[in-house]
Amino acid sequence: MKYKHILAAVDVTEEAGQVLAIARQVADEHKAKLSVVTVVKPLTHVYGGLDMVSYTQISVNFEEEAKAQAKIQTGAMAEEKGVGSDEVHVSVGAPVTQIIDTAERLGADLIVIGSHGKHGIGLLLGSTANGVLHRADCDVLTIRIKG
Amino acid sequence: MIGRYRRILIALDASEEGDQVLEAATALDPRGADSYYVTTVVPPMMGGISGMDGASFAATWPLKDMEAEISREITDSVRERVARFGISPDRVTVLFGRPATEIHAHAEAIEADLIVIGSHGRHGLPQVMLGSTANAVLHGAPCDVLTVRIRG
Repeated sequence: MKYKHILAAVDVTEEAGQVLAIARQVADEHKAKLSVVTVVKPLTHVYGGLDMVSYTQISVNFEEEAKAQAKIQTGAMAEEKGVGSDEVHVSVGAPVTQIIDTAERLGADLIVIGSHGKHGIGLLLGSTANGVLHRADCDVLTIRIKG
Repeated sequence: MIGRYRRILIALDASEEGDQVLEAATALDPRGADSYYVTTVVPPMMGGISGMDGASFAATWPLKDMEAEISREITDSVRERVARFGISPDRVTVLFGRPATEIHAHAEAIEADLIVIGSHGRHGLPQVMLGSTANAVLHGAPCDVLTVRIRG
């Protein structure tokens, strides 16, 4: 069984490079299409509990700006791996839901996602990776982020 | 995955679904079977008989003999299964214990850089969407993990 469409789920940190590099390799092996998704958390999630109604306009602008920035940053990293900007998806919302929705919308058959391995502290799998694993309808490759 | 994953540990259970895991795993590396190791973990029998005094039970039952017999049978069937995917029989290790613990230990012993494990799909309840063994393997795995959704 070969994968046909691989979705790399990345955040805008340097770790995204590790995830993208592996996703690229797997995509090449399988001659699969590679798409990238990054999720911007809405301001209301960042400042939980704060009444955001009066800030709606600011919030929308902020989100649009954050989305545009994420698109630029992720787009640049993706481009290094030969992924065109049409294949870079930026969405605003809860990361797990957005990643799953994007995977389903694109018909991805493999999600590649990074996860922090913090041995001994108890937090062993990143919460986003964990959520994606539990909800994904397709295979998931979890990349241990080193360091 | 050329150049990336050199030692891939495939964690199989004894069911038919193992073929789906083997299929996904062996599709990863066109260099062939040389990268693959296979392990099947048999949970200890005592685990299934909770509340019973293990020591007295063991004394009345040739448990070790049974485990040896089970191990032989499982090893034979797993070897036969993996042979169809071009994996050498001497790469098969059958272990007794708690699956996640044994899989982690074996992955470390062979210095695996990827574990491939099957997982059952959705069961309608969020907490059981990922097979419990797959979940336990993911948490605390010493390396990357590919979770293969078992279909049907």
